[in-house]
Amino acid sequence: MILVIGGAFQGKTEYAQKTYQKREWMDCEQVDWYDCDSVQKIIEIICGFSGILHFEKVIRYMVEAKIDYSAFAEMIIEKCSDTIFTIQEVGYGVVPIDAKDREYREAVGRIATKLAAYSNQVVRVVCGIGTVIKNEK
Amino acid sequence: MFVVVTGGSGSGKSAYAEGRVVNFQNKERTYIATMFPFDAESHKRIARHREMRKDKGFETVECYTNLKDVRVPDGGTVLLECMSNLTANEMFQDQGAKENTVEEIMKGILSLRQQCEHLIVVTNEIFSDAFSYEKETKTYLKYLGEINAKISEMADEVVEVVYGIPVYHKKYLEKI
Repeated sequence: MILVIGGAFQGKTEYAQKTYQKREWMDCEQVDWYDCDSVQKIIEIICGFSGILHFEKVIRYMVEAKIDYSAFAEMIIEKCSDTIFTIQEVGYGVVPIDAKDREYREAVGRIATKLAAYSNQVVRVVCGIGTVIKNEK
Repeated sequence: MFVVVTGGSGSGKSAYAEGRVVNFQNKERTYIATMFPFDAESHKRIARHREMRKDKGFETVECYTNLKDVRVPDGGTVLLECMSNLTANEMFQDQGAKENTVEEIMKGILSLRQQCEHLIVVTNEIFSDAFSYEKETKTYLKYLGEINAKISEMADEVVEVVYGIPVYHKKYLEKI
């Protein structure tokens, strides 16, 4: 598993697609998740691809739709162990006033932390430049 | 050793900080808790943190304001979590230091530094919002930013935890 993380509009997608070729990409921002009423259905869709863009968007959907995501990270690790994910870092602002925003922000952090522990490589993209912050064979 | 641990929300900074404390092998461990339990969500957070550190041998001391009066065992290890709460308490609680928040907290940090062998302070990166806040929040960000810079200047190490991965901004090197 590989994570490409960073703030919004830093070039994560371009970096990932240029660096890791021969992947089948899916953009979570372009998917209509509304038919998915369980975490299993979401995993099923994600498993169909080897590169996932804007992974934070599906976390946002689960928070909004009140889908139980407590085992989501573990399921991803089990079923999509060779996938590349790009994830926006959303935890670097003031604690949001809205409870849903707070939950989303924390969920992205906790899920990404679990995936990062499992990943062999984590790259942080700033201004289009990737810095490898974890690299294990 | 003085270590400042920073990071975003849900980044794993607490787990990292606790790990560092345990690695110091110093059995005298004090946890200075700064989160004031004002609603269900904060109670839940506090419970989560208690659960995380329950088998790590910490003595918990609650400190919402006036850090400089806190007494800890001589030569022990202290984990203070977290600076963003302490700063908010000093600014917004009735008995807080208000406009003297930065000075009062720095006095507290100096006092702790004199009492303990190892000090780990957890703080928070909350400075990357896209929009501008009202005056009160702006002042809060300014104070916390100033405190972070001051403690990082004093510290031997400054570590940003990114999804559980330590990224060093300042690293302690043994003198040869």
